Amino acid sequence: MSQSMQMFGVLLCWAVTLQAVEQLAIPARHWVDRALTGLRAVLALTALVMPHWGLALFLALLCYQNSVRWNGSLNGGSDGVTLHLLLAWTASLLFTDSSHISNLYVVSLITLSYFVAGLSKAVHLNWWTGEALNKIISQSVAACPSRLQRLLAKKFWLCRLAAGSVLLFELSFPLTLLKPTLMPWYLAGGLVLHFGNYLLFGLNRFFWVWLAAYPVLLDFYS
Amino acid sequence: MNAHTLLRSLIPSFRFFDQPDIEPQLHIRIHSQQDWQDALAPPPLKWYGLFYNPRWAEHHALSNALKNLLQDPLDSERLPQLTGFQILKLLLLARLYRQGCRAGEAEVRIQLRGEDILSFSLELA
Repeated sequence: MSQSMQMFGVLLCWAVTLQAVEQLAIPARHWVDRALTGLRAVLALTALVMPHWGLALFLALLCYQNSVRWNGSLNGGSDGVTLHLLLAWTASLLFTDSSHISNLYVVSLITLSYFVAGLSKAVHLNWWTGEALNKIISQSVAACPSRLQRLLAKKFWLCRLAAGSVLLFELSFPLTLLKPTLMPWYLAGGLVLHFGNYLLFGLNRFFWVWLAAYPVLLDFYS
Repeated sequence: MNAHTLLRSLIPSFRFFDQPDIEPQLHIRIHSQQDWQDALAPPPLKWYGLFYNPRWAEHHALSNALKNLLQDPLDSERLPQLTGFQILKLLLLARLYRQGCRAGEAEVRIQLRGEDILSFSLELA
């Protein structure tokens, strides 16, 4: 197994463990749900140390079951991406000789995630003016806002700059398919974007799940 | 569980923060004399939140539950049977219990663009 695939597996298992452990502190619909969440945490930790396609597939099924129980998703897009990355990891462990196909799937999924996210924002004029981001930040300011939340809520020009940067990053991400040398720069930008999303909106799950795919993206063209 | 839920769980949505103007609002109050509280007010971020962030995960779960519920047809007679409604109730009750509200009744209202689209009460017993 290549080093990037090993890294992918470790980071993905870490992300799934974190999701499951966090979920244990959230109310469950039934005790069976809580037991399955605990099982997911244990299996993800096991798969982190001993990767096996059977474990990866079972984790994917548990993640899917969890999303269905939560009427579609517990934490939005990160649940769906976790499921698809687990399926890709299962395929890469099962068909080691043709892992380039699962790698292509991961690259397509992540590229599509950024591009669709950018496109869905770009059709709204208020995203280009910075008003949409300003509104989202004001809506999500907690009782004890972070410094970044306070700064962006006050300085409109910073909001406009941040919104423009997000749109540019997400819409132009597919350029990395045409010019792979751009990939490390884009992934660095992605890290900043996800860390910013964590600071502003508490989206730590998104940070870890997208980060898990980065070794595959970096290695894909090399 | 319906085909829509099975499909929604399989196909990830990448439309993040695209339309802040039509985000649904969720308000709650314990007594009818009290002011409405924003039930989607986010919790403070802890310094270790990148590694363990259950209150924010619960906050996003509540927000998702609301959006998923509004994607299903809202029939007032069938409402208590809807999975989305049950999840919303579960999360709201858990929050109220944590705040020490363990008896009485709470009123809940859902608004879209400032208009009430659904209201119901929660038994805290």
